[in-house]
Amino acid sequence: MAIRRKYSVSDVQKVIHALIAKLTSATAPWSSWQAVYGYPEGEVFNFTKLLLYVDTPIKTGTLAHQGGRPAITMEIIVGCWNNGGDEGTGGVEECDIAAGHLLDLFGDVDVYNTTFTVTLGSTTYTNKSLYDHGIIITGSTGPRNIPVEDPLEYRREVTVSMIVTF
Amino acid sequence: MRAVGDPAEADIMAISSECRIDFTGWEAKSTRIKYAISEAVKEAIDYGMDELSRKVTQNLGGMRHKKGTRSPYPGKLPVTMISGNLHQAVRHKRIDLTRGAVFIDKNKAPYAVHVHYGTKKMRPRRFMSDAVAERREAIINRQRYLIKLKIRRAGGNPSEILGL
Repeated sequence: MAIRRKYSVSDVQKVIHALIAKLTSATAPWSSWQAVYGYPEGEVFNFTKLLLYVDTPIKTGTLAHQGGRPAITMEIIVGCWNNGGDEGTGGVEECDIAAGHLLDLFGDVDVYNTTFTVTLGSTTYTNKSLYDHGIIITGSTGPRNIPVEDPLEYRREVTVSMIVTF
Repeated sequence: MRAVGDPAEADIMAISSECRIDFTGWEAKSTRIKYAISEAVKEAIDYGMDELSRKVTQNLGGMRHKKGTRSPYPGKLPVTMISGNLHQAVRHKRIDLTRGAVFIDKNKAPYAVHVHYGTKKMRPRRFMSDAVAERREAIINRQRYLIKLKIRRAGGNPSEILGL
């Protein structure tokens, strides 16, 4: 279990980001998209690829059990945002494809098969799966359509629920 | 094994033909508990809506600053106020017996959605979903307590009825 109790918010965010970054670095169609840690700030909108952003997770509950330290339940928002309009990043269809892939990724046991490398604190964990980090995905909901200012932009958000053990 | 003509057999036959079970007490208790549950659910939903509205309003009650000036703490809760319209736009309404909604009056603050989800130039301040995540456990615990209490007062056993 790599997630540190006192740093659970940033550690979970880093782990989920590392998982998505791994997919976008190699696997099609993920390789057409770009993983962003945290809410996309102004400068990342210069990327020509569709953005997959991993927002800050929120703790939603505690799972106490006898004989061990309690686990916590968390929700994290993973969004997709195409910022280049129809010509740049495939329009609404591309955004829906990305949202569908996110939903499927977190709705299937295959999510535990992907191994990735992440640095938490001063320790680098090489080729570990979500399960190795103590994260159990309990479901994904969405995608929610998020209103945007520019008519050529499309944005969707998927909420992923998980149990984090320490 | 009983022999034919056994007196015990005769008693059983007599009971089966004359048995009368009075369910009126059970029916009265059942009605009382059903009523108690519906009252408790109503109260629990009201509590949930009040608690959530209070937290959302609190999330929207940040520092005031002038129009055209930068927020003193961008991207953080509580949301800073310029006109204060969003702060005053929190509403709640009961949908039916078991459902209620806390929402923002779109006519009062049409920009609420952009504040909540963020834009290219503004970080999100999820005043609604943060309030839900923060208060969900407390609201559910309180609702469970209210329902159990009402059932117990109506003479029922909450663990048998709710399986809790």
